[in-house]
Amino acid sequence: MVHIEFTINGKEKALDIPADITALELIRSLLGLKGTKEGCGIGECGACTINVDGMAINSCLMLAAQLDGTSVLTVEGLATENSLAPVQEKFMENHGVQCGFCTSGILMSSHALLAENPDPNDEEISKAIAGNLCRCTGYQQIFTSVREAAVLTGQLTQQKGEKGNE
Amino acid sequence: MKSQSKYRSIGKNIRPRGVLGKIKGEAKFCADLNLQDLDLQDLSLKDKSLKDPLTLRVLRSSRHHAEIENIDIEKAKAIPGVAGVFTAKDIPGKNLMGIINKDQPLLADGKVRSKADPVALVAALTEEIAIKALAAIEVFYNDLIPVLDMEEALAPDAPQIHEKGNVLFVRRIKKGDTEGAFKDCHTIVEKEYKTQVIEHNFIEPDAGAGYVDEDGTLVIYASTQNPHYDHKEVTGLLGLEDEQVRIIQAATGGGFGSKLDLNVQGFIGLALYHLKRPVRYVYTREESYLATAKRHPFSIYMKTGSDKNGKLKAIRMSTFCNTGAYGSYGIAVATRSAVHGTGPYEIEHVDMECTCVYTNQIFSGAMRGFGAPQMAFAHESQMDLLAEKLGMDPLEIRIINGFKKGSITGTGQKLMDSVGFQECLQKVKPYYDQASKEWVTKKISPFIKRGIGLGGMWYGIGNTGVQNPSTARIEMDQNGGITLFTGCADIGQGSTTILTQIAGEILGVLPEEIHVVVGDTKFTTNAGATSASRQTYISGNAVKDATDKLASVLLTEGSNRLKVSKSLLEFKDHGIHVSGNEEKSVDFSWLARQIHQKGGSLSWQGYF
Repeated sequence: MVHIEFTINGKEKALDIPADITALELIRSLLGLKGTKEGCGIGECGACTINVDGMAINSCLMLAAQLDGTSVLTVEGLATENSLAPVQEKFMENHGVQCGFCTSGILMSSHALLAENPDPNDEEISKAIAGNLCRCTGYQQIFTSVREAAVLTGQLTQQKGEKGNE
Repeated sequence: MKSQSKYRSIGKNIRPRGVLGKIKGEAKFCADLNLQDLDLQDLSLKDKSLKDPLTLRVLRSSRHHAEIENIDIEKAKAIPGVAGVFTAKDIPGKNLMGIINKDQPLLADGKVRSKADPVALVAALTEEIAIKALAAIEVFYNDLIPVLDMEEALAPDAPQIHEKGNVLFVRRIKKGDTEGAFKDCHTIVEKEYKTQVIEHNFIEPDAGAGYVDEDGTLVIYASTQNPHYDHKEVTGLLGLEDEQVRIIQAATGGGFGSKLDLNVQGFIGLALYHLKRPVRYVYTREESYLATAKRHPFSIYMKTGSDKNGKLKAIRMSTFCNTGAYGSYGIAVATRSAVHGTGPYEIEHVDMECTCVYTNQIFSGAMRGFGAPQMAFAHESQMDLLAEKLGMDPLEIRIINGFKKGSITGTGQKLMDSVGFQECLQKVKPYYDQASKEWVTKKISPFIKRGIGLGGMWYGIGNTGVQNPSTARIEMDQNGGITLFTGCADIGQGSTTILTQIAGEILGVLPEEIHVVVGDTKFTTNAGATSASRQTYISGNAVKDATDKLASVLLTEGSNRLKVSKSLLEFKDHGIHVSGNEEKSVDFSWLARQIHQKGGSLSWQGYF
């Protein structure tokens, strides 16, 4: 067993965990957060993508012990009590979701992209979601969703800034 | 494009049902279901420790083709934490599955026909123990010669994979005098084509979970495209009555045809039958690749002939498709390929034959198009080669021969509606012409070759060559609330949304105001498979039929109340009003109570 301390979706956790489990197993089995999916278990499909310190990570390829000292965000942490995250809002609006199994992972990749790069071009979007397979949509609706989420994120940031200046 | 639609909700871009749960990570796929929280009151088990779901795992054949002499499960059963080990002899009903022909055992019964064949089922406290138990099962095989491709399977002295032999089915479609017509053809192209196995690669590996409720009903959550078929199959395997099995479609992470066959439903059912404890089975990606249907690989011979102007005169096709160890949708695939092999073109003389062949490969089944895409590869290659030989433009030859209204197909069907092929080609033309003009002059890297291509194909929606029914039910409660019951599995394509748009259109309510009960065999009736692009049209019409019936009784009651004939009434705002006079109205709750008091029905079943 190893002792780890980290925050997940804003909540602090201190846990003793088996040394050999993956971040995905920790999140799904021990913490019961089932929004993060396992599609392949070998880092090919991206359904298990989470954000660790703002970076999009395949949680099936990361040991849970490596989360020590980090800040983790999963799909369950994207929305606040009152509002959806821009990526959630726009994926819903633009039919970026069909069966929904890849959705959590693509949302997390897109979210990490927009946090780092608020105005991505198509090439940058493509690179950011290259590790996420979607079998239903054909990706067009996903690109639209990410593009519009970028615009919405920009608007929200501006609004916040204006409020801050008042 | 019409700017002003005559519809209120159909054709509107609305938010799909169920998507909010998916973007919040709350949608429950089978691997996510917490059986402890789920219907806890239903669980008959008093001992709480027994509520943790057991993990199921299957031992699969280590041979392509062998007889099973004996399976020794005693060592596996003795491992602490193993709740049960089951083989074919533990199956109480008929150990055969298959939607079209029944030839696939749930657990191998004396013989294995591919390396995907399940031999024994283990239920254990943990995955680790289950895997240990699989290793402890001893299977004694008597090896048979494996038949791994279609040529071997069709050889005169080939080992027989099934009792009936190695040919599952032959479909032949013949029209006119093909051989005679070839003699008069100006140009003939004769070629062979091969297509390969394809895996569906849905992102959610197959999964299921289940428990036994307090009435003794086996409740099975499934990742499925066809819950009512699953129900029929599981009751058959277990020899149970309809009401003793309940299939609930969980959120389903893609199917593309593969989740039309049973994946884990039978195993869940068998374990529940014997153990009466909650169980779960989630395939690893490897097992999903190994154990589920694939796209049929084809070997196609095609001869196409035309006159000197490129007008097609005759086609002969002889094709073989490899269905692997079991039939699954093989018969439909063979039929479709014979029907669709002509491509979307008028041909007077047609002779198409498809033979569906068993081999000891992993079974092939449904995958988007049921053989039609494989055919398209062949018939479109033929069109290009023919155009080349004739010195014609590839687009031109397709325009000359393409289906239009009134065309007769190879099966003799006269196409009367919705034949958009010519319009489609005309839409493509400007882009094709532009690309043709530019491609020689565009500078490119010496290592990249550029080309321009176009292809046509056609595809008939719905079940293949058989009846294509669906049903649905709609109910109004006495407060005017509306609930739609449909057995139609929504696997993300949006059928639930569309069906509520159809019902909402008729009753003048917003689609999102209609409650839905979807894919739960306890409450819904059979809507058939979510496949072959059939649900919007076919289940949509069943919903329309049910809703029209409900609308009719509401209108009758409304007409009595408003003293106006039914034809002058309209639905709006949860009620009925007189056309052109919205003041003169009556709401659903009043109508529903009236109808109920008079003994009329507010629950209507629709058929199509």
